[in-house]
Amino acid sequence: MKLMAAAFASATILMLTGPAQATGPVNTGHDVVELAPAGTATPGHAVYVALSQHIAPDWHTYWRNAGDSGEPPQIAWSLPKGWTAGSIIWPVPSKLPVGPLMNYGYEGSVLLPVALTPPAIAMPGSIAEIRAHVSLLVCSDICIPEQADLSLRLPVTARPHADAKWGSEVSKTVAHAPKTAALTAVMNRENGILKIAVTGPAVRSGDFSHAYFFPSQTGLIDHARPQILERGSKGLTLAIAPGLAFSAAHYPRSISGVLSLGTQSYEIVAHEGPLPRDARGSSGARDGNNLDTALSLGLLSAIAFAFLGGLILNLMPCVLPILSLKVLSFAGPKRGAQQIRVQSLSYLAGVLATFLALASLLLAAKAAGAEVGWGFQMQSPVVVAGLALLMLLVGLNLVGTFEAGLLFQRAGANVAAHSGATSAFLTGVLAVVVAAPCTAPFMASAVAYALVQNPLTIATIFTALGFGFAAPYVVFAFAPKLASRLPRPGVWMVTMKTALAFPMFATAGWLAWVLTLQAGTSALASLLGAGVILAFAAWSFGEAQRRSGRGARAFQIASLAALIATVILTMMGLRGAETDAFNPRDATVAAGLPQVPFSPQRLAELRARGKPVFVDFTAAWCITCQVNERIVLSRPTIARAFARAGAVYMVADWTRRDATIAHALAEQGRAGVPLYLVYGANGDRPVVLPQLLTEEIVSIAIRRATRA
Amino acid sequence: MISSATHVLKLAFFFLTTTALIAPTEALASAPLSHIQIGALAPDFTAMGSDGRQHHLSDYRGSSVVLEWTSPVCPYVARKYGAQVMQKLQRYAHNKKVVWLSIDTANSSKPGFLTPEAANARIAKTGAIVSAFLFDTNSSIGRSYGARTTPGMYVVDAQGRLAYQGALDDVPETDHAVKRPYVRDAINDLSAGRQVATPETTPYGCAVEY
Repeated sequence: MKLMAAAFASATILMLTGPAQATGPVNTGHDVVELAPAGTATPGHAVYVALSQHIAPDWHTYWRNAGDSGEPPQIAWSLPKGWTAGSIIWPVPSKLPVGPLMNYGYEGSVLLPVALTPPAIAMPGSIAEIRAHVSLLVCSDICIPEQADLSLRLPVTARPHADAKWGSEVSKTVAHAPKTAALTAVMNRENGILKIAVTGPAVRSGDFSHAYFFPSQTGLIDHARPQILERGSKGLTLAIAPGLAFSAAHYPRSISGVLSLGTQSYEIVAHEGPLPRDARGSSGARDGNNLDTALSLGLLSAIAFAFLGGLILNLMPCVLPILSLKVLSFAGPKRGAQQIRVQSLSYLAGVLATFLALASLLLAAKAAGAEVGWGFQMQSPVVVAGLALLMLLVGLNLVGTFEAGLLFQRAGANVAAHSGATSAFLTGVLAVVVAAPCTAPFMASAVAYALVQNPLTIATIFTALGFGFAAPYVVFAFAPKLASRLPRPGVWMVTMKTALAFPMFATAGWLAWVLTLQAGTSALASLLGAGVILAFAAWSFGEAQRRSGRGARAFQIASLAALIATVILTMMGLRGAETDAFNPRDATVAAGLPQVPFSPQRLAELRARGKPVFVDFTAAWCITCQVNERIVLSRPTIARAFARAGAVYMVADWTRRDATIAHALAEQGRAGVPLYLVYGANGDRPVVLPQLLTEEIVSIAIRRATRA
Repeated sequence: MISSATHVLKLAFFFLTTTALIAPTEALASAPLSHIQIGALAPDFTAMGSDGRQHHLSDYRGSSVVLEWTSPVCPYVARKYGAQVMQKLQRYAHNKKVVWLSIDTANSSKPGFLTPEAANARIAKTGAIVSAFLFDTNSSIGRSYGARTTPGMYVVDAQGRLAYQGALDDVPETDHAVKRPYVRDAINDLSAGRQVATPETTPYGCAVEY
């Protein structure tokens, strides 16, 4: 009864006093602002009144830490006697990159709520006159300081009544604002990188791919650098480039800010201390520094990049020879459109199956704790030797030593269609396996993104890669107009087929070279021996195909024996190759540059002595690395630049598996090579050079890294 | 024998790889800014001045040099010039034989771009006292110094080493009394032969127009 009376009384009062009245929106020039109350005020209890902003398109205002430039909005309140105002409740801001700088702020519409508390003795039925002087810095290309004087007539009622216009929006903003949760945050520096580890129930599981730490103040972190995520069973760790504050002797011992996880966000204060092991461990490989793209990649754009990356892989020199086979089969003895379609789809299936197989291998290796990266299968000498022999075999087939088609035809019933589909499938498999080490920058981003995702996302990304990779052929097969433009079959086809054998032999030669670097010259000898015997096997097989009766039988037996010998020789020659002590220094031929093998200790030592260090993450099977080393790093001008600067050329050779190097790559947010870092004479952070070097880029970077 | 075979293989391989030059060079826009350590040699540069002459930082070796990142469209810069704060400091530097180089990192597509004539008109109008007004239209000087804001200040000592970088003072607005005139303090420390007491601060202002 009493309750009802009170409710009635307050309703009456509300009727008498009317709803809250604001002066109305004020257009400050590029921002329309007004005061937005959540509801009526009740004596002694806080009511949220927000500064509502409708910012003009392409313009923005700032968060409490504006980032590299700018300034947060300021509200100066004039309140009735006894009233108090809290501080602004800041919704999670957007990252607003401007060239190489980063700002934190808001675009479009935003509410900045503030808790206003009337005194307990405030009279229900009265009207509180709320005034606020608002100063804003509104920026697009240029910045304009804008101001407004706002006022609000806020009724005081015995019970709160939500504001019809703003109530739900303001309450929602308050509810979504960063919360303080039961999270433990620790910060520490490792090798000049600021690490913030957060543990607690809220950060144990979920999609944290958008995890980002917004520091409360400027100068604490380098805002523009990407933050690299690592996850563990109890939480997550962000690796962040430290800001100016950390280069001072009295660096901050704690750092506060907002940890944004996409849908949820938390206010955290991280104190200096030992970083918990269970907030890290699972691959935090994310693209670092210069590859902002990978970090800001959403799933959709990652898929798009993966598709594009797959498409571009078709142009890679290690794939082209395989694909020329495919083109040949299209141009082959007049085939029906139907058959070409079946073939192209089989090819697609082969590509997809292999990409997914690689993805599951990656996942399995990750689960087993191995430090792997893209192109990892090329780190195994057995795989490399096998591929070299396969290339040799394909080349021999192309020059006409034997006929592969006949093989299939003899093998089974249902000949033509079936064999076509099978070989197309196998072509797809082969193409992907060989393409992997050609780390096109596009793909590096997509793969780096994929590596930190859940298995489903990884599968999606790799499927997109596969679709991109197979797309040209499928399109070709399903566009009859294009197909009809194919040149007519003729003698030229035989010539072309034979000519295409040479890229195959070249690839086999390259793989043999890679093997030498991985496993030494004895392994090369085994491979060459195996190659000769394999060639003999192929020739015998061809002879058997060309004969009939007892002669054929003898050649078949010889061929089989030689094939078995090949396998045995390869296996024996490579047994123990992975533990061979051969030092694969020759992966880099940067002439005249004395090389120091990579080790984190040595790097730290050199940096402590104030030496500029150029770290070259490379591998023999990495095409881009080889191009850079031959065209740029081996130039005398570069050697002179290094000598002048007293700079050290450190080589991290990833031709073979190496956990230390894989870890160092992951620290820079990379999943593969090349990666070029230049540590300054006395700087904390390395400069990351582009994946394609020029003499100018290198010599400028070396010069800049030099102290007098 | 084997090594010469390897060499041939390398050559063959290299021939193949040259066809792989399709990787796009990274866009310059995303290159991170450098950060110069205090005490390190300040990067030398060559820039066209509003006086029509080329200026090198190394031309001024032997004198202390103040680098002032500036912009005609930044309210923070406008406040400091409007309240004569910048001009007073420039006169102070001038009397101490300190070289003052104003730098505008904005190309012609940016609102903060100035032609030499406009820059000279601006100097005349504000009464600025500068040794030169330099154009960094390809933003290379800004990037090499890691300039983030206008006003953004650097002080280079007579040996060409970076002695101060950061804000002009501790007050972004004009209606508060300045307690810490960082750049003035740095000039004083240098002319007294001391280490700069506060060599690094966080700059405030508008974003440099990269």
